[in-house]
Amino acid sequence: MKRDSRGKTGALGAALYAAAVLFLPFIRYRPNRILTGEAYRLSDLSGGLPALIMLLILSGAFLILLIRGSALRALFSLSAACAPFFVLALCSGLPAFSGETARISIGSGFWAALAASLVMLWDSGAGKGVRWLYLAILAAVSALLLTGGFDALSLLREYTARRETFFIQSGRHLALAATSTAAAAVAGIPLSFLLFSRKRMKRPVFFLVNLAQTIPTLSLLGLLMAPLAWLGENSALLRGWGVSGVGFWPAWIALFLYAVFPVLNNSMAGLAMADPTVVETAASLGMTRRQVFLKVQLPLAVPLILGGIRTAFTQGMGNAILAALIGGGGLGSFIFLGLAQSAPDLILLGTIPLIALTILTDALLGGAVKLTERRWRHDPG
Amino acid sequence: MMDKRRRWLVVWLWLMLLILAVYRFEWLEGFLKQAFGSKQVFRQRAALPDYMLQHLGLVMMSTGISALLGLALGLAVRFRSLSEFREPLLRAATFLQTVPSAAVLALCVPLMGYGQTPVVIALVFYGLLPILRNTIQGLDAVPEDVSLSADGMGMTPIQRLLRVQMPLAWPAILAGIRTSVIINISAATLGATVGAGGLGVLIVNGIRSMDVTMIIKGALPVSLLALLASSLFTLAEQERFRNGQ
Amino acid sequence: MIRAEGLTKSYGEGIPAVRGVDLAVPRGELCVLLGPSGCGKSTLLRLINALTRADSGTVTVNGRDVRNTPPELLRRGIGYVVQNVGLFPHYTVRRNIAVVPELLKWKKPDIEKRAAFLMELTGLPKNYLDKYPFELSGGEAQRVGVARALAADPPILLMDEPFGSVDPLNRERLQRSFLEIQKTLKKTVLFVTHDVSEALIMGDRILLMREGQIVRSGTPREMVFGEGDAFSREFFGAEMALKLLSRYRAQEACARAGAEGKPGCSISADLPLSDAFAMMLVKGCDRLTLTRDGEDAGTLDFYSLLRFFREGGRNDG
Repeated sequence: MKRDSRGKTGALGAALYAAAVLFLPFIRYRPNRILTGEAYRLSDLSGGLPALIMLLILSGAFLILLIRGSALRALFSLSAACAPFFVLALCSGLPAFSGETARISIGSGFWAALAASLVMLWDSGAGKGVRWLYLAILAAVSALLLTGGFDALSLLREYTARRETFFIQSGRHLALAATSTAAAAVAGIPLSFLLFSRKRMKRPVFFLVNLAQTIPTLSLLGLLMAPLAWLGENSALLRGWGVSGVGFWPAWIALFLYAVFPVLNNSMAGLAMADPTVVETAASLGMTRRQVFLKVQLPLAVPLILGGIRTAFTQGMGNAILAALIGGGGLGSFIFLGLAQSAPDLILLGTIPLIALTILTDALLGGAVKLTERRWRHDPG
Repeated sequence: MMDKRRRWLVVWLWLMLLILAVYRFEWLEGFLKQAFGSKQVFRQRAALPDYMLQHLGLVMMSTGISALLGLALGLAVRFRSLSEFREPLLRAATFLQTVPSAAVLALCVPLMGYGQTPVVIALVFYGLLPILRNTIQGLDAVPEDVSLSADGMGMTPIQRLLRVQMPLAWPAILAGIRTSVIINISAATLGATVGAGGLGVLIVNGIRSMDVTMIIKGALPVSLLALLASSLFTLAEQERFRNGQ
Repeated sequence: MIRAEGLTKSYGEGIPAVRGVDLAVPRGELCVLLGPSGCGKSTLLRLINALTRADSGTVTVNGRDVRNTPPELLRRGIGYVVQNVGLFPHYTVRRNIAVVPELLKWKKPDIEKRAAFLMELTGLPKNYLDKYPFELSGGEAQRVGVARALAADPPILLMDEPFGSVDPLNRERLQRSFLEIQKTLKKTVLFVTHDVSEALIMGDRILLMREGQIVRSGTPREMVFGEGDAFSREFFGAEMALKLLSRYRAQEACARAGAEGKPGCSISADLPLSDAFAMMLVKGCDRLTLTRDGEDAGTLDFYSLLRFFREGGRNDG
């Protein structure tokens, strides 16, 4: 679909960018953990270099309003997107903010500028080109990260302090989401085959699964803890397996139940996708029901089944945050720890990797889905 | 007809159970304390109905604002001068939804602090996508010849919108609002971790102190609330079907 | 009643849809705009009721320039029927018909009376008023569309391929029904179609359009029998003469009273002349007895049919 772009989005992005840079605090500085600290706008910072860079970018942002050539606009948007990172690194290195116990936090101005630059980027990017731009930004940021540009930031300090735990929890988070999704696939896909041929069972099963979906995640988690706690207390065997009210198991079971619905739903939709006339033709050629199923309906359903798994996994990544509340670990532990200690950077330590991981895995799975779509589809239509 | 009666029954069922769970929890409490022990480390600061109302308030306020915002934006991008913002708007809302609700709420804290207001704001943006997308798609789905004949018969654009396009798009919009409500009920339970009150407070504190009774005290009403909301919307959808859609 | 002068309209990129068109439709005439797709006939129609604004030129309806009237008010005085009817799916037939009267703030009893009258006029049973569009067949929906357009008794009707999406059998029925209605109501109608037979059956006058201009105009007979360029002949080839036959009743070509036909050669007097001609061919009769209500109503022989056809009937220009 041709994108209707008359530049207004870009203009809006540029305006927001300018407002963010000029008026919102870019950095918060606390000499130590206890003091509240002050917010600093870029204009407040002495030592002209950050201000100079931002001024350049600002003028670039306004030029976007005037320039029509999309390549130039893309270039400016790219620099507008990378600039906040560079300036952040610069600022955090300023002498005024040095100190062992100093805490430098990212201010709302940074986030707002970043978001505005993404709006500009989206407006100026031309379809496929946008992906390369994102990769370029990613590369720039990673470079800064690896060369220690951000080390002075409180966020990075939290990371360095908990590096080991960080990787353990990230691993656990992924494992939780992945295994529960896999189990849901193992359970859900055959179940969908069954339900597809036996329509009468569809209603009660769907009702149950729907029930689980409607109930809020946290409360389902809580409701699961009760019976599991009881089982754990009253059965030494199950306790030996690790079944108890807290920890891995309740979280896993809840995630499993949540993952079943997308898998089931998409799987059934996929099976229904086979054109009835094609099915009829196949049957009239003398194929048994089983053959029709294996050779016609199943191949066509594969992309949708994978799509269901993808949805389930992405949702699972989100749901796994709550596992931390019941001792199941995962990136949620940083988030809740940060909430309890009122430490925003801790919260960010949990949230940013989570969002990044979710986007990454979602994109990977999405790519897998597209691959199967191309290979299994028999008609291009 | 039979179906409609069944829907009503389901609604009443959940409503009755909810009222029981909130106002007569003590009936269940005894059994639970026996089964799971009666340690109560967390002292409830308010009565159960108060938490329930807090929760309800969070959901209704955020969905209300979301609905107004979603409808307004969905209508706004139909103007030719603003149609350019349609894609970016949908993308932004979709992106907001891919971020898990817990993360969105947790991110409020650095930006806006603790309490009810930041949570409501977060919920408004988080629940925006279903309503916005369904408004846009619902209005798009109105057959072109219907809109054309509305014009041809001499309706003003506003009359066409109110009398023809909105009523036809309404089922889709309602479905969007339904999704938003369910999402918000769930996300509001997490609001407890950010100081917004609600039934989540009981659940979270129950989990922290391993007090199963407390957990169920919070989890049961909120689950029933979600089921009640879902059944109410189903009922509303069925009613609309009488219009021959 | 409807006049247009020098109408021009292009849709971006300089592709003109309508080029310098002059048009005059007197009161009570059913004027057909005929042409291939893309010739601008629908655009021309939409210029009349201001659904589209002309780049240049004027349109006057009943003496008033359409630009000086608020478009909504203009359109409430013009009936408009489109190909897919565009009935409001969420309104009953009754409410659909009542749309324009309600916009004009008619009183409820008047609307009810009018709706009942229109149902009878379009040949639909009264109980259909409470049905929803999805319950109607294609032909029935079209009839409701016509009823709806006539609801506020507008002097002018604009019809854009209204019978196009209906199967041929029903289309014929709808055409005849509409001609009956037109006989009673005598509206000023501008009718767009790409179907030559439809034009020949319906039109008092036909305007042939091509690439945004009117290239030929005349009565159906003039178009069939007259001289025309290659383009015109594509539309009005000799075989169209046969189509023209269905415009007339068998009775009209009857030369003399009294039955003289051979046995087996008789036909109802009210059937179209085309059916009579077909019967002559099939049965090998050169003379048909016309009957009405079982009684003899005259004789139609081949030569009087030929003469009638070439020299013109009573209701024709």
